[in-house]
Amino acid sequence: MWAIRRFIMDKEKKVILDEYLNKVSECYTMVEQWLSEKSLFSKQIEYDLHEKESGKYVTKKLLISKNENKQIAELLPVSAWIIGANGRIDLIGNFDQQILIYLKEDIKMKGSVTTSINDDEYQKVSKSNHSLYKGFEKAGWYWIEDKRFGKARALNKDLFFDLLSEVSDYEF
Amino acid sequence: MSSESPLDPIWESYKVICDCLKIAQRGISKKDIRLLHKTDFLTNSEEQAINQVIKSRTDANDYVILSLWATFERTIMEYLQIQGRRIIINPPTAFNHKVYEKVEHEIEYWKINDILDIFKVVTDPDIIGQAKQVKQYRDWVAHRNINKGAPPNITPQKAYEIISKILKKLEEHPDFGTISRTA
Repeated sequence: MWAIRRFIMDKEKKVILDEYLNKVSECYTMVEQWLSEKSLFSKQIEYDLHEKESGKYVTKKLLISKNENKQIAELLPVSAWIIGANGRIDLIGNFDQQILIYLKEDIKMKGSVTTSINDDEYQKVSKSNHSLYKGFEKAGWYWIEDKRFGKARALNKDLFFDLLSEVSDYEF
Repeated sequence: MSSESPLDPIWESYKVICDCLKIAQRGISKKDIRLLHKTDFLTNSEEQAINQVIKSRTDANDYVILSLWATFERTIMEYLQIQGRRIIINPPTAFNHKVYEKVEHEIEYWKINDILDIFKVVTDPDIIGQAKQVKQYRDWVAHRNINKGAPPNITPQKAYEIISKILKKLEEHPDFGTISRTA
């Protein structure tokens, strides 16, 4: 019985991890396209991550350069298991760091305070309930403008270069 | 007599902080989004969030010792200043006024270990020794002088018990009368 439960859990974890690695890969493809439009360079290199849920696994980080010798930032996978999201990548430069999260669906919370604390963590309920993040439109990568106000902005080219400027102190 | 030590409100707040951290840790472990909504725990992994809580608990332990000690030190100095006023009434001469003014002013500059030694006549000297250890730990928390090395760790509970015991002894001692404070 224990072995079956373990097998199911491992399978669920594998699904989560595979989906995360897929989404990271899609994000890199999108970003590499944007970078090439601005004549910036990118390179993916293997990167090991260790998470409590999955153990060690291999992913990739994306190095972003002005030219072949001048790296200005990198996209670094952080975790497939994130509180309030379905994965995280950090955009890290010499000056700052920004968090990008993958949101699969609008996470709703019950509005009533009478709900049991043991209810399922993600409540997909009626529209009258609160979203975890304002600004969610569809599944994709988001930048959390403000955690305390729960403001999310979908990652697009303009936003990406704003964030890249912020972390690297370069203008684009 | 005051029923509440000046240390009690600090201790109560500290316990509330510990309880809040415990609830936060439960929320993180259960990934209870309703509890974690609009907090900085969002977008962190469970491990990161738990580490934040653990670090905050360690910091809270240090900060409460700083706060308890500051209040304790201020309280015993005020007692000394109040006791010093007896100089004025025996008899209330201009000279005694001058002596009192000098004593009241200078107390602020006395070394805390010397002040604690004065209280050995009214309380268990062993407790005074333990209070000096609390002070030593408080200094290390405040200055983190790595050249001096860390003194033995004092838990907040132990620090609270030791210095509360001294204030209680003072409160009960006939020489000191009430320890109720206006602040």
